[in-house]
Amino acid sequence: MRVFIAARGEVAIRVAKAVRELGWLPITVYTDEDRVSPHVSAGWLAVKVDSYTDPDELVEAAISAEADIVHPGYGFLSEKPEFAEKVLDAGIAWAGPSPKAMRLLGDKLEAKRLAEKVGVPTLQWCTANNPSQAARCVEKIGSPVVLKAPRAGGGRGLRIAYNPWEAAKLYRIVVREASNGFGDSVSSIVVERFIESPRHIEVQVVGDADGHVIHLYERECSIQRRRQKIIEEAPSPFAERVRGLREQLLDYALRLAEEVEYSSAGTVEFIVDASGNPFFIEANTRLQVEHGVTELVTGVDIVKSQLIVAAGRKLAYRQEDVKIRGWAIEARIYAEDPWRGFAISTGTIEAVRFPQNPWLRIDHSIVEGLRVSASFDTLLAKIIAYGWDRGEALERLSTALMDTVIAGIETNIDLLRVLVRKDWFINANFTTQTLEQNLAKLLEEAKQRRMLVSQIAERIGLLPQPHPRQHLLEAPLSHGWPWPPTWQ
Amino acid sequence: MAGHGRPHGSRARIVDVSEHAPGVYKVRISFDNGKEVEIIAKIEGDTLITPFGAYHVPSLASRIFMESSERAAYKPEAWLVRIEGEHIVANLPVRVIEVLTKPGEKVSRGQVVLLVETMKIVSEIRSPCNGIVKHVAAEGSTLDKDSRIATIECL
Repeated sequence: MRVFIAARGEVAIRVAKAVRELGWLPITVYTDEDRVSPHVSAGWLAVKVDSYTDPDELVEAAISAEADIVHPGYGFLSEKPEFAEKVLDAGIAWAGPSPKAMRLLGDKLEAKRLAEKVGVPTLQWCTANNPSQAARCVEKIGSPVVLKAPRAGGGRGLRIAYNPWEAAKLYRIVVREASNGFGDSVSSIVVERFIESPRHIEVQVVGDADGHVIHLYERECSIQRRRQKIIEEAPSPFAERVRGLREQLLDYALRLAEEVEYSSAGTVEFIVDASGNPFFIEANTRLQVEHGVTELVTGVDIVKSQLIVAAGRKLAYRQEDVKIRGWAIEARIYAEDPWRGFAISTGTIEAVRFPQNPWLRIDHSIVEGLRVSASFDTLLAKIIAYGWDRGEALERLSTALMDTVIAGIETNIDLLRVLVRKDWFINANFTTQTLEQNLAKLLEEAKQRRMLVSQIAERIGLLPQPHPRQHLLEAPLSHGWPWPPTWQ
Repeated sequence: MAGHGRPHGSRARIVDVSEHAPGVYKVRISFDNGKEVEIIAKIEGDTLITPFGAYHVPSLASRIFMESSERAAYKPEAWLVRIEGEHIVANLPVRVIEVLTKPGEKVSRGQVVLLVETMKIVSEIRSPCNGIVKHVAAEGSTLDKDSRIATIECL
């Protein structure tokens, strides 16, 4: 079997490993800018393309590489049913759900209607096609509300309004962002009731080709900044605490997945209010960045499951075989400068050190000398720590973050180091707003610590000193060096 | 290690540094609140290992933090624009999406002057003061880094 991996970065490497474990042949793709990226050599063959987001070009590359399966990773075209259709039309298997399931769950409106149909609670909502409709919507369902463009994500195409007037104003921004970011022209957006301090819990599901769906329990991703997930863990501390919540979440996720005869891996996302009421928000019809924490606590290889289902084989496990054992926490390291409003930081990676420990899993795609550009996602590495319980996993994560060095570009490591030591994090008393509420304090503390380390380095005498004979270094060299000018 | 991972809210000062084994240093730090702690810092190759984390030594010196005055003026869009006198200047290349004010118009502090897009994210650019719009970039135009987005005469 030859598997064409239509992705870049750490996920391409992750998929390539699973392909090789199955004894199959991984084929990676790269653009000119990515020639020297580590994911290129993760494949046994690598194909050059002009763009990661041109479906026709990628399908053609997969055909010419004689691929049997296409795995889309995450991001790029992984949630585009049009791409899946083109792959399947070319006679190549698709390591993802059917295009029909992708359409039903991928569109936020369709997915909400589906949830209502199968009795899964969602938030009150209505659609708006212009600013005044958006305002009327708020009057009907109450505020605050969130304005969402279809297929929005990663903080784009999403805004929160606290009154009708604000909703009308934000309508234009949301429409604009959606049209720019996703290449689709949109005018219809969803206005939805907004839960102010929720927790974000999602359920991993895997379906085989016959429509049998099983769940791999839940993950909690409440530590976010502007809807960008930063720390994820499995199982969810909130689901452990609130009686009956886990069973409810798993049941809802399975109902939805079974309704669309979901095959391959997917995630059903919920927000849960303070009293433990879950509301379905969206389904992701692809592998997720944070799949690793679920893999560690269940022992199930999710990527391999996707490949096995795509190859038309049976899954090696049944629902009753899947149990949670221990705890796993993941921290994402981004190439962003937290002290400058999390602006993308670019440059050359000058040093990379990752700790080694049998209970650590580090998924990354960086090497010394690699240039980090603003063209792609800013995710540099995922540090996943496993432990007997949450406390042990947290200690391992904290120690691993202390020992990790990524230099040359600014990253959020210092912020993570301070964050994982906070009582509200250790005691799992957080919502999706907690990080943002504490951000200023955390950044100040991280800055103080960094400055202290600089001072220590200076006192030890590690920082560059002016050269004692600077005038000699600056003296002009005679022509004909190394011979003195008088030598003839 | 003493002080391992403890958050230090107050400002720290290094009292003493002594080498007690090759590449292993004892560092005494005193804080504003009078507390003193001793930590251990180690050097392994080009990495300095402290209880505050491991750092690549050659890169440590290169980080310059924002001045406190600049931080006081920090607003949500401060990463994108800065104020230079009367001008609002772009820190990054931006595209003007929508202009919401006209030259000659009165604006109040915090009022949205125009919408710009960078890195596929739309941001609202607000007036830093109560004043009169003297100049504003044209809708649809693309501006380079360091170019003027708008000029507002403060009253």
